Amino acid sequence: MEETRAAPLTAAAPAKRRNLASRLGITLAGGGLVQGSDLRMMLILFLPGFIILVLLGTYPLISVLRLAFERRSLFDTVGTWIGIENFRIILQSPLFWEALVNDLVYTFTTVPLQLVLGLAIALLLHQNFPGRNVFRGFLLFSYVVPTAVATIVWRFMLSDSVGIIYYGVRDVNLGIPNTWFASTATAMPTVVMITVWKFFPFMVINLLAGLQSIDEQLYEAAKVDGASRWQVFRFVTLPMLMPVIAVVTLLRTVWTFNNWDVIALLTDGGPLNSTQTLPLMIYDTMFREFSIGRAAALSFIAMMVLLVAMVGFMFLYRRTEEKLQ
Amino acid sequence: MNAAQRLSPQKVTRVRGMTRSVGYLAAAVVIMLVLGLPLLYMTVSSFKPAPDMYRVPPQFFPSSWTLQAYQDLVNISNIPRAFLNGVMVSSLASLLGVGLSIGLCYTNTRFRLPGLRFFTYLILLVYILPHILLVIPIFTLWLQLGITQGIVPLVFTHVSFTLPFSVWMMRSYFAAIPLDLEAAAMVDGATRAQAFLKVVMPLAQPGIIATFIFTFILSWNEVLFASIFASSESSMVISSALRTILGEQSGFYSWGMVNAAGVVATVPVLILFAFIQRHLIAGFTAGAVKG
Repeated sequence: MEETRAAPLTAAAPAKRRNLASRLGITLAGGGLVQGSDLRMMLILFLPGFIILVLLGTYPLISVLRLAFERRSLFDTVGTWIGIENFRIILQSPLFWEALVNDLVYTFTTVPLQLVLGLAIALLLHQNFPGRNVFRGFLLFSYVVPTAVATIVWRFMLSDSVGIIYYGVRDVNLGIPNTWFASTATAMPTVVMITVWKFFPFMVINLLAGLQSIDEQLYEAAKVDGASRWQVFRFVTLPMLMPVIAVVTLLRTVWTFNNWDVIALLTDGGPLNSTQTLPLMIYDTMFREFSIGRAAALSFIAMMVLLVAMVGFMFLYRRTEEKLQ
Repeated sequence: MNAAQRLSPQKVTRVRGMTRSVGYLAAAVVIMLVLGLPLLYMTVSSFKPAPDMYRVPPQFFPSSWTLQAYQDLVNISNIPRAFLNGVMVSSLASLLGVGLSIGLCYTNTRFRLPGLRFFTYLILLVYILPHILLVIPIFTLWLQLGITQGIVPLVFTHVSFTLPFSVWMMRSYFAAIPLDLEAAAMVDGATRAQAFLKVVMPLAQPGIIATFIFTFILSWNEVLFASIFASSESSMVISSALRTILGEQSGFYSWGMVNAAGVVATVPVLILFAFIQRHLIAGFTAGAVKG
């Protein structure tokens, strides 16, 4: 703020630039001064949303950090400071480590599967064939179907009392285990499968948009140079698509690691905690054990895991980008 | 197949091109079936008479079509109430989110502000922020205010994602409106406020409507905050009602009702989606490609 304030006030700047708005560093986008009444209108339009966004960006971390060091039940309005006790309890609990491992397994299977599937289908829909716009529209539609509805459909189809897939697999004898949500060995793979089904359209839509923004001339130049189909993909498409791949992978990683609704509605963490993840543990600690302090400590840990993952991801992204160019 | 190819004497390339198209089409049909069949199955199953539901092995199509499940839903579940509550919550949350972000998008594209970069990062951060990490701070806030149940806390909580999302999606619409148009109006004697209302707003309207519909869908589909703030009989919204019905499916509610509830929850999304399909693609890409 100090710098922007000082810059236009140097001797070189004309004296008429000294009005309130320019001293605040606010000018018109097309150049020019902001009049007093316009400044008032601007602030009225800008500040309410801005203040909410700043609060949303800062308050959760501050609040969680404060609560994480307190013993406090859901029915209390004040807590007592207990230092790092919450963290000690969490880190000593085997359930936490189980949930963390499950969460990592869940994230690092669903996201790569979605990405590979999404990329393959985006490349397919980028080709020219009759009716491809219908398919694109359909893909978008399946992305906006409510998560709760998606879980209803799958629980219905896989149910061991009425499920069409359950009886299909049983009668045809495909040689695959037919236990789905019921056994600790198959619950996680089933949840992974449904998550991929629900969210790969997101990948396709964004990757397709990325593909469409690649300059046609690059492909033509590659063709002139006699590049094979694979070489075109490897040296033109993939490098040009990297920024979009990076963004969608990052978004999906963050959202999958912190996903609550899909697993909560499919298995609620069961059977025997085999699909228990950190978000479910946070919810349970808060609303079933009524312990705000420990839930806050768990949230803080989840935030830190996320931060490490994001930094690591950025590092990896830069390495891959260097290699591809 | 374009005209140039069709006219070319090399029929071999043409045949190869056609087989390739057919291959693509076949692959696309398979994908569509994988995505669509489960939803189709839910829909036809909601019209099955009760005995059909427990037939072994289950049949895809009903033996006869009935509206029994929907009648049960109206008579013994609180889906009708939840539907109305849901419409109310999602409309209000979207109205607040979009309303606030109109101001943000306008000022951001019309004025040069200090710390614009910081602002962009802030939007991105709040947009990415997972809901589960907001639950504890937001719930304790409502706890201190003494309101932890009902439509009011749910609407304001939903603004936590409708606001950043609509700024994210709507900014490009405002940025696309030329500055000259406003300048021209202001040269003709309009004040900035008049130029905003009479010139910018009408031009931004399609973008605003598309964004509103999208945030409505986001809010309609949201489960976590809905299960926390709208879990009582009177305050339930559609997604928390679905969760309850699904949870008690083996006991009180039949599978037919569960499927019917799923259809009822999807239909508004489908209708709204049909309106904005074209804009939706633009909105997504604005986020992904520029991000």
